[in-house]
Order: sequence, then structure tokens, then C-alpha cells
Amino acid sequence: MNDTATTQEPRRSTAPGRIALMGNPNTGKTTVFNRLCGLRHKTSNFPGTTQEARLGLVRGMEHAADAPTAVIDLPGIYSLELDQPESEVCRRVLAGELAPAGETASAPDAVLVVVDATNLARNLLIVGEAMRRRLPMVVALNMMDLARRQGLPLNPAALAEELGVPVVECSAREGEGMKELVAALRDPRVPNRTPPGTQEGLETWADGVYANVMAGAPARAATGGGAESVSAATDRLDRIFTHPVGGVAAFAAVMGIMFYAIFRVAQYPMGWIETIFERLGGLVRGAMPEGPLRDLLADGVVGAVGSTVVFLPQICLLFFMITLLEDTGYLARAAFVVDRWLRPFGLPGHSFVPLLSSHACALPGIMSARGVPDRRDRLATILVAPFMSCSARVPVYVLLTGLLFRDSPGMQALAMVGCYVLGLAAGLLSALIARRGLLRGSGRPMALELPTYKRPSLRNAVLGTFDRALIFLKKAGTVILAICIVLWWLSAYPALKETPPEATTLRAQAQAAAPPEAEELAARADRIEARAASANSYMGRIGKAMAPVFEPIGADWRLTVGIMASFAAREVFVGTMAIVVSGEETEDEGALRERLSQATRDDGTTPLFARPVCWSMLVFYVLAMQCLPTLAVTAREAGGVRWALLQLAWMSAVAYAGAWIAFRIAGGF
Amino acid sequence: MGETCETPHCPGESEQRRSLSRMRIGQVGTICETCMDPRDAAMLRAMGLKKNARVRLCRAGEPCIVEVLSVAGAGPECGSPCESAASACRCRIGLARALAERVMVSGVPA
Repeated sequence: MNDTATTQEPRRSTAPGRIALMGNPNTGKTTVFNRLCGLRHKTSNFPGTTQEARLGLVRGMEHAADAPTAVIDLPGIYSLELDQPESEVCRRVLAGELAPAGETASAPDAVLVVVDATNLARNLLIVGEAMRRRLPMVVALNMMDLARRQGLPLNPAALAEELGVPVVECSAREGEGMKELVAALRDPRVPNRTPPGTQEGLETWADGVYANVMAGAPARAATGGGAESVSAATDRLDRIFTHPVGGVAAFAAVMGIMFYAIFRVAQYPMGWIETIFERLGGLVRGAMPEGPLRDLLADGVVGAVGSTVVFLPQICLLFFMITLLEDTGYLARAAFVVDRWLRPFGLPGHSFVPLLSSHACALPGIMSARGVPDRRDRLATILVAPFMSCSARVPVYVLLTGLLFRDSPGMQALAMVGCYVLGLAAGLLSALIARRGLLRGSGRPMALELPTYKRPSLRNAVLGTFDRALIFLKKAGTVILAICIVLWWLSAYPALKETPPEATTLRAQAQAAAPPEAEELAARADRIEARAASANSYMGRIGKAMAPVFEPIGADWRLTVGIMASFAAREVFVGTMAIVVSGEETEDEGALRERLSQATRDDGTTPLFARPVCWSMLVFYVLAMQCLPTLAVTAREAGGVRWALLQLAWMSAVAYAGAWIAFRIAGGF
Repeated sequence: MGETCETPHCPGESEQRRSLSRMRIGQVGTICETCMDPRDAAMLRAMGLKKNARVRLCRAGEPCIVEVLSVAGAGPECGSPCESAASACRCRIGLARALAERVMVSGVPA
């Protein structure tokens, strides 16, 4: 028995109402949470922090009639006493000062500490720290299957005796021991001893507990020898995956497969979602009488939600694969490979996945920045992630590079590559500036536990992906929807009171003409009317009022309308320019490019898309924020609207300056 | 924040005492000192890289990968020759070279 203060505590008579789940990283804590709660959980943040909070309801466990026991999944930490945001969150939750958003803060009724059975010696430190809190406890000795395979002579009963709290051996990955764990959670115990308060004392205590637990066990189990072979295999794999050349090649291959899935495989479900929302919009139009309410529902609500939800497959695929990769143990190795490249810019290797993901869509990219452990690193990553060229920028790049190099596909491709490089360079330089200014602080050299390589859990990946999808859909259905409706309203209203005389004349001519010519005349009349409606809308009026602001980068009032309208989503620029210039949206890229290349400014002679203007707009769209959903997600993930506003201001300033320089250089000053 | 030495006067200054970054692959040593930002030192300590922990170098360079074989010398396995067999102390930690250079290890053969 160790030299610890021993006290007697009364046993509980009812199951706890709220359990705090804690443990070291890589102990299978999330797997235990998923086994206990399944889909019965919600994800939010701890108020005032960027830390994710998951609150789940334990299946088959109630602390009162119809009142299931709740579990708060705390961040994985190595110690409660570290000067890190994650540790502070855990300390405050255990002290009853903090709870997930929407929950009342109060001390948990019990603490479940998940321990990695293959690394018990170190894990005992956090057990001891939890015991100091004097809360009812249960210890889950997880990964027992792995411990058995390695021949580790663990004795859970002896450990329970040493700690004075229930110890349950389990393997959450395999679902073993979970019933026993739930049963133990019904009756957690306040430890009848308190480990010493100093770090040195705690370490001595943990060493003593470990020694006592292992003392009665044989030095080497009959099935032993497993640990050595695992180490040798892990050594070999580590050398490959962190090799300066081999590691990069492996990384490129893994990322190539991931991006192929995100860009290619996701196309199919994205197409299905587009079709569903198009049909839904059609149904609304068909079912409702013409009028503002129909337009609001069909274009404002269905259109806006559809344009955001279409990214859901990419988000799901990305998180599914990231969770699988993380589970295999590979991602921790990859972080070191990339750390060499990102460190000069003040970003850690952990930032790579968010930055890479942002090339598909900044939304999942920013959401995946939760994996960046240091707060300043995480904020810098979130702030610069939207500089990466996302798939929504591609239609704009295609249009503008097509206008710049009409007969040269090779040059178009080169310009496209240049767009991606410019976005990456701007992001990295912005990170460097942020880390030397607002987010100043010495870069913490990377130290990362490299988990054992193992077969990934599909269950974990599916549940994790489901979680991310719900967060995204919730955002799409609330903030993003509201913003999109406002922008739609600005673009659609006020309606034209009178049809333009030119359109009226053309329609009269159409009525008198033969079918092919009549259709052409009617279409021209429609285009003239749509153009006039766009100019008359609030957005059109704002565009005219704001034109002087964008004039230095070569934009007239119509391009200003395009820029303003695409503030919500940059890809809207193409459709808006089609309407503003030609009066109709068109699916035919070639026809649109032809019309835009022939369009002139109000003086009737100056080309609207002169070369300097094309360069200016191209640079502007590479660097500008122009994505409201991203701003909404930034505000959420960074922990405040001020970060989103800073991101918007910085990116807009950089885009404006870049576009001005491009306009001047291309125009020969 | 200044740098501190967890153990300012590490005993046994000799040829056998060197930084983690200068160990050879497969060599085993005992951590005797960490000279770095206290936050980093506290983090490493919590991860198991603390004084008297036995480590084996798995990969040299950037990153430096070590396997923690035992913690502070307690127990029949930890700190003893049988540590490579059945001990529940094992974990593998990757360190940037900047950190590995500041972790001093003793008991390493020349």
C-alpha cells in the first residue's frame, strides 16, 4: 500500500446524473464514449473556448425516471495541471465551473478515467490527478485485448485495491467489457485515499502503484514476446513513413487517394443533391401561386440551403477518411513529415490536413483544425485556410482564364496552377505575419505521441462523420440560410415596375414573327428585362453606389454587382455576370465566355473584360474571402465573431491590393 | 518565458551523457535532464519523458522517435534489464529535433 491519505467515503445510492469522461490521448476514450452513447449525443463547444464538447446519453442507464445519465467527453490530456487550454477545460469542468454550451455548469457526479492498459505506468498519473478531486470514480482499463496479446501480466483487481475505486477491464474497440463498465458506473466510488499534491509526489505514488500491481504477476507472461515484435514492426513502418523521401512519397499517395475521393467520388452524391434541390424548387414553384412568398421559398430557402448542402458529401468523405487515417496511427507520422515544410511559416505539421482539406472546401478544412493542439497554431490555421483555392473558385478561374487565353488551353492550365500557388503562398505568408504579430509567440517544437499502428474502426469513423455532418447541416440550416435569404432578397427586389420599352417592342415583334425567329426575339426580350431587373435591384443599386470603391481595380458597376453578389459564395460571380451582362444564366460555358468577351462598358466601346480587368478579377478571386458560410464556421471554430471579421478584413485587403497591383501591371501602369 | 533545466546539475557528466539527438538507433539510455521551455518540459514529463525514464531511440534526425521503455525506475520491469519484455510502460513519442537536442540521456554506450 502506498503512502497516501486514507479516508472513508459513503457509497452512492443512485446512478450518477452526469459523468465526466477523461483520459490521455490515444487511450480509446472516444471509442468508449461511442460505445456508451452511440448516436445519442450532441456536439457543441465549451463556452468561451475553442474546445469541442460532446455530451452523450448512456444507453440503458438512468439516474432518475426517464432521465438518462449524461457523459461529457473531455479533451484528451496528459495532465490536468498543464498550462494548456485542454487541461484548463478539464480542470474547470471537474470543478463545476464549466459545462458544454447549453448545459448548466456543476461538478460532475462521477468521473470515468479511461486508461491504456498497454501503458499503465504513465496513465496512472492522470488517474492520481483525478483522485485528488475527490469525486466518485471508475477506471476503465481499456485495450485489454492488446495488453493480452503483448503478454502484459495486468491484474485489475490488484489495481482496484491500490486505487480504492472500481477498475473495469475492457476493449471498447471490440465491445468487450462494456456491460461491466456500465454496471460499475452505476456505483462509482469516491477514492478512499488521496495521492500526494506535488508532481514529484504524484509520480512516486504512481510508480509505487504500478510496482505493486505488477509485483504479483509473472515477469513474462506465457503468451509474451508480443511487445518486442510489435516494436520491431513499428520501427520499420516509422522509418518508412517519416523518411525524408519515402515518407513524402507515402504521404503524397495517401493524400492523392483522399483527394481523388473528395473531388471525384463525391461528384456523384453532389449531383444527386443538386438534382433533389432543383426538383424541390420546381415542386415549390409548381405548388404555389406566383408571388414573393413562392420566390422566397423556391429561390431563397431551397436554393440557398441546396447551394450549401451540396458540399455535404465532400465533408463526409473527408472526415470519414481522416478518422480512419487517424485511427490507423498514420496521421501522427504524417504530421511530422509536413512539419518540416510548414514550420518556417509558423504553422505546425498538424495544420496540413486543414490546409489540404481547404482545397476542396474551406468549411471542412476549418472544422478539421480542431486537431491542431496549440491555440495560436489553431487560430493561425483557421485564419489562413480560406486562402487555399477551393472547388467553388474553380468556375471563376475557368471563366477568367478562358477570357484571358481564349485559344490556348496550355496557358489556361498554367494560369490555373498559378492561382493555386498564389493562394497557397498568400496563406503561408499570412500565417507568418499572424504568428509574428497578433498571434505572436514562440513556435512550440512538435512533440507527439505516436500511437500503435492498428486496424481502423469503421464504427468510429461512421459515428465521427455523422457528428461532423450534423454540425455542418445545423449551420447550413440556421446562420447560412439566414444570410443567403438576405442576399437573395437584395438581388431580387424591388421588382421592376415597368417592363423596359425595348423588351416590350421585341415581344411585340416576336408575336408577329415565325417560330424560330419569334423564340429568339422573346429570349432577347427576357434578357433585357432580367438585366434591367438586376440593375434596378437593391444589389444593383448598391453596386452602382459602390462602383467607385472597386474602380481602382478595374471594375465598373456591373463587375461591382458581381463582386457584391458573390460575397455569399464566390461561384455566384459567374451566374451574376451572366445575368448582368447578357440577361440570362447559361449552362454553355463557351457561349457565356463569348458574350462576356464582347460585352462593353456603358460607353459602348471599352471592353468590360479587358485583359487588365481579367487579371485583376482573377487575383481578386484567388485571394478574397467571398464565402459567408466560411465566415460563419470561422466564428464558431475560432471562438468569436471577431476572428471572422479579422479574416474578412485581412483577406479583402490582400485581395484588393493584389488585384490593384495585377490591374496596374497588366495595364502597363 | 526563459528556459529552465529540470535538473540543473545533472551528475555524471561524461562521454556517456549526450543529447537524445546524438544517440544511435537502437541505443537505450536514461533521461537525466531536460533543458527547455518549462511548458515543453512539463508536457514531455506528462508524456513519460521524465528524469530516470529509460528510452530507446527508434529513429534519429527529424523527427527523433523514441520508445519509452520504463518510467522512473519503479517496479520489477521498469528500469531493469527485462524492461523490453512485458512492461506496461511502453509508448512511442516523436520529437522535433529542437526538442530532442535538449533532452540529455545518460548510460549510453560510446
